[in-house]
Amino acid sequence: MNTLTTIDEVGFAHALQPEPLEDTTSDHALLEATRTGDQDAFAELVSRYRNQITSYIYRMTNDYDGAVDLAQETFVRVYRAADRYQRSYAFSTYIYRIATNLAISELRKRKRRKLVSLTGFFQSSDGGEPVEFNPPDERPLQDKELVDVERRNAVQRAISTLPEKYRAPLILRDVDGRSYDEIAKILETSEGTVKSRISRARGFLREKMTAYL
Amino acid sequence: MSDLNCKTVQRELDEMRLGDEQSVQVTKHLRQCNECREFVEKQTKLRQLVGSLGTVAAPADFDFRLRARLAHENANAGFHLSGLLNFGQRGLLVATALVLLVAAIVSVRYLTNRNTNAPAVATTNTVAPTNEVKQTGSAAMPKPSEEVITPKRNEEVAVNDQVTKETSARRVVVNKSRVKPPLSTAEFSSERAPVVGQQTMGSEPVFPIDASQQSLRFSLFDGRGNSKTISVPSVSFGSQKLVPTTTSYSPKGAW
Repeated sequence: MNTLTTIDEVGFAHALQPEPLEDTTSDHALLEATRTGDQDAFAELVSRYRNQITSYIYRMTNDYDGAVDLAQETFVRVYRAADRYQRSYAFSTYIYRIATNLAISELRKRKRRKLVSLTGFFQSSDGGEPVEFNPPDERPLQDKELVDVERRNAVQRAISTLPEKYRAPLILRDVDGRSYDEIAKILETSEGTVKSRISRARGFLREKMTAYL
Repeated sequence: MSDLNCKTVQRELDEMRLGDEQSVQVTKHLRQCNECREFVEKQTKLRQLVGSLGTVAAPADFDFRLRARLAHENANAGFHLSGLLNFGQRGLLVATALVLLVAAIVSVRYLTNRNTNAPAVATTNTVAPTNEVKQTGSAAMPKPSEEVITPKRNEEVAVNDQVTKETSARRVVVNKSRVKPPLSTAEFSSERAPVVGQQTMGSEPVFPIDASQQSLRFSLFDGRGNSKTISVPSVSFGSQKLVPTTTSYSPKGAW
């Protein structure tokens, strides 16, 4: 049984309970600190997300140097827009949305410039963007490591031939392991659309990766 | 076949995470359906392959480059009105700039008109300005297209200035600034052309060539101190060309 020690505690006992403090190491708290000019907080955010964002953009664009540049641009935009950041979404959703928009914008620029490989490309079956023809190398390889590298390269090439609307959800789901709900928020679409696009993306990949399955 | 059809099973399998437990119905269906079993095998292998891509690490100098980029952008940020002013303040600034621009234009026009007004008003207060026609050549042949103002030669020609007819000083200023000052002209067609010179050398008349070779020059004054000189080339009668003036056998000045 609780005993009251002072009269002030009568009826206000609940108010004396310590409020749960916000985790000062959460993404939101770090961005809040960044807003007030704390450079270390921003550095912490960068160290948390730099690999994820660089990797995600690289999977989207299949160009490492370009991916690094776009990842930097992503963080620059986060830094610049720190004052306007709204906490209605998770920070990861927010930063992935910026990265996705930058990556898609880059893909469209490339498409306009027609900077696709001239080794030969064919129109995809669904009328999407041109896809490169990369037949798998059937020769036996000496080393298992080399086999894995070759297989990963083939997967990366196959992903990079997917239309952008299928590419982003597939990477977010199968490479990054994000939930349908989060992917839907990142891509600003419905969960049903995300599931449908991922299913179609896997279908395309199955066709392209027959030799490896 | 079980209760579920292949499409439903495949969709359910597609939405599952790798390693998730299959439902009893799906497991039961897979036992009986070779097509779905093959689908599951390929799908699992594909997802494992894609998942094996893993994360690509950012370069070691990522943070350094990012800091440099941010520092560079901050240094080049400069003065941005958009960052300092909201929409209303920007509108006010633009409106103020427009008002200042209009005021500047009005001031400049006022000053310009005041400068041009002073001599124009003075002109209207005096008698109409007279433009003088000076004739420097000895042989003056009037142009047929010239406007007839006064039939007398070597007489001062009064300029019929429109300004004197205006009663309003403001109107005067406007007309003076827009209308070109008229040039005075004289008409000599009714008079006999003068003989340039007639000398006799023995019994033959002699015409000095030099006189006819001089060009006719007019100096016109518009009453404001400005003058304009018109030079009319000498009239050639053809035969002059036959006899060069520099030849030794033809005496200079005699034809």
